[in-house]
Amino acid sequence: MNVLLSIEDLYLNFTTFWGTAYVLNGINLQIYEDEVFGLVGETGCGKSVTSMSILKLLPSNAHLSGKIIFEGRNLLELSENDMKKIRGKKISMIFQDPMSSLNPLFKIKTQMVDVMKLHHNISKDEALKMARELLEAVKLPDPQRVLESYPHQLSGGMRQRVMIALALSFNPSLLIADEPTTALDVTIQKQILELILELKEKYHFSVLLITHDLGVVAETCDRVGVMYAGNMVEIADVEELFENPLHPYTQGLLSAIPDPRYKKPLKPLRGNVPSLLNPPPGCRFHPRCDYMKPICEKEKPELIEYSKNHYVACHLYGGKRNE
Amino acid sequence: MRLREYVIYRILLAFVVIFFVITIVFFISHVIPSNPAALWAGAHPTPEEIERAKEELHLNDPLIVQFYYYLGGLLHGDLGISIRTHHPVAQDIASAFTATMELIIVAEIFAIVIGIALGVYSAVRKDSWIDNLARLFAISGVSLPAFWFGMVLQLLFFKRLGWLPLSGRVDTIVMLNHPLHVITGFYILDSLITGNWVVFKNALWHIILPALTLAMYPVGLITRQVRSMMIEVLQENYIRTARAYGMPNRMIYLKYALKNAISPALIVVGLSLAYTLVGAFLVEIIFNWPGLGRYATYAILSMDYPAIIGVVIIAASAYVFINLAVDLIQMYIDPRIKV
Repeated sequence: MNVLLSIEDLYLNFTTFWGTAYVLNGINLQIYEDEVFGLVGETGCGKSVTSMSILKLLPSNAHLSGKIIFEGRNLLELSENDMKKIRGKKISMIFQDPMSSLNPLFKIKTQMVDVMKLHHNISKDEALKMARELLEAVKLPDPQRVLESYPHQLSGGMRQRVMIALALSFNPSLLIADEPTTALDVTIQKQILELILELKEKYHFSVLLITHDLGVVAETCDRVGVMYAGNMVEIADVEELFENPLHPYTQGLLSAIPDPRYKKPLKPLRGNVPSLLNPPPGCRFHPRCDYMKPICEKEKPELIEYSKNHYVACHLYGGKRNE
Repeated sequence: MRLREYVIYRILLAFVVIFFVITIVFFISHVIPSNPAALWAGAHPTPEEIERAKEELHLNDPLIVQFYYYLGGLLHGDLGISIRTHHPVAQDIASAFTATMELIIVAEIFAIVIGIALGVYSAVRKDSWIDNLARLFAISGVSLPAFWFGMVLQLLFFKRLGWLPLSGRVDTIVMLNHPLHVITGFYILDSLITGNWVVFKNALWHIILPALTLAMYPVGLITRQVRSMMIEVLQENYIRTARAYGMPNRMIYLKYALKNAISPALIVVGLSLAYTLVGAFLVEIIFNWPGLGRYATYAILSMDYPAIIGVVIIAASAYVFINLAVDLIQMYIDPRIKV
C-alpha cells in the first residue's frame, strides 16, 4: 500500500495570553491510500488541531514545525495560494457540528455552487446540475428541495449529508472527518458512517476519521492512532488495538467502555488531562500511569514498532521490538 | 398568510404608538403658559382682537374639546394653522420634511458606506494601525458634538480650501437661472429626473458638508458594531468551512461573513437614523438647511404650538416607521426570523 499522507515530527505551539501552549508534541503518522484511519483521544488531546494543521487552517497565533508530506510535497512549506488549491480539491473536510458548519444565511444551492465554481471552470447551471447529482450520491431525497433550502430548514443528518456532498465535489484523495457524527443521534450516526464508507468504496479516497467514540472506531476504521495530550501514544490495526492494547492509556480507555453483559464497575483513569501550558516532563502520561518508572519523568518515549504494524510510545516496552 | 398578518399588526401598532405621542404632545404643549391668541392677532393687538383670536383658535373651549377638534383636523391631514407664519402647518412641514429627509438619507448613505467599509477592514486587520485609527475616528464621531464638527468642516472646506459652499440647500442664483421642476421635493432626485445638471451639481455640493457632519455619529456606531460582529462571525464554524474549501478571502469577507455581520448592524442603522433626525436639528441650524429642524427651532422659539405638535408627530411617525422598516428588512435578510 502506498502512503498518501505522512506526518513527521509535527510540533504545534500556540502563543496565548497565559503563555505558550505546547499542543502537539512531535506527532508521527501515516495514512495509506484507500484506508480509514481513526484518530482517537480525549477532548483537548490535539486530534482536531492535527487535522486543522494538515489544511493549515489554524489561527495566526499557531506555530507549526515538522513535516506534512502529501503527494510528495511538504504542505507546511506551501504558500497560502497553493494551499487554496489543495483545500477542498485534494483534501476535503467535514466537521463536527453540521448545525454551524453551513452558513445560515445562504441557500444550500448558493454555498455548493460557490464552492464548485472555485476549482471547476464551469457555468452556474453546470454547477447546479453537479450539485444535484452529488446530493443524490449522498442519498438525500428530493435534492431540488434541499438545494432551495436554508440550513435551518434541514435536519442535522441532512446537513451532514450536504457537507459530505460538498466534500465530494472535487473527488478528493483524502477526506478528513472531524467527529462527523458527534452531534447526531445514534441511528443517524450509523447511517452517516455507512454512507462515508460506501462513498469511500465508490470514489476511492482515504478517510482520516477523528472521534472520541471507540465504538465508531471499531465499526469503521482499518487502523487507529491513539493520542494523549499532544502525543501519539499508539498506532495499530483496529483488531490488534482492541485485542492487545499496549500503552497504559489505551488500556485505560478500553477498560472505561461499559459492557452491558457484565455488571463489573467501570475503571476510570485517575487524575485529569494535564494543562498544555505546563505539560508534565518526560512522558506526558506519567502522573496518571500505574506502571510509572523513574525514566518516565525524564525522557519522552519514542514511537517504536513493537510488533508488526503495532507502534507504541512507552518506556515499558523499551526501545526495542519484543524485549 | 402569516407574514402579511404580522406586517399589518405591526403597522396598526405603529398607529397606536403615534396616537399616544399625539396625545402627550398635545396636552404638554397646551399646559405651557403662553398666549397664542396674542401671537395670532399680530403686533400690538387690542383686547377685542385677542378675544376674536381666542374664538378662532377654540381657546375658550375645554382642552379635551380642543383635542377633539385637533384630531378631527388630523384625520383630514390638517395639522392646524401656524401661529407664526399663518400658513397651514401641513404645507410648511411638507417642504421642510423632504429637505430634512434628503439630508438624512444622504447622511445615512455616507454612514453606511463608510461604517461598513471601516468596520470590515478593522475586523479583518484587527489591532493593526488602521484598526486603531478607525477606532479613534469612531469614538470621535460618537463623542464630538455635531456643531463643533460642522464648524470645523466649514472652516476647512469653505474657508481654507474653498472647495464646498458654506451653507444652504442650493444657491438662489442657480435656482433662478435654472428653475427646478419639483416632483418629489428631493432636489437631487428631481434634478436628476429632469436632467437639470446645473442644479444637480449645485445641490450635491451643498449637501456634502451637512450630510458628513450628520453622518459622523452613525459612522461611529456602525463601524464599531460591524467590526465587533465581523470579528465574531469570522470565528464561526461556517467561515472555517469556507476556508477549508479554498474560498478566497475576499469572497469570505464580503459575501459569507458580511451578510451575517450586517444583520445585527441593521438595528444600529435604524437607531442611528433616529439619532440623525435629532442631530438634523443642530446641523440644519449650522448649515442653514431649510428643513424640519430649522422649522421646529423657530416654532419652539415663538411658542407656535400647532407647528411644534406637527413637527413632533412627523418626527415620531418617521421614527416608528423607520424601526418597522428595519425589522422587516432584517426579516428579509435573515430567513431564520420568519415571524
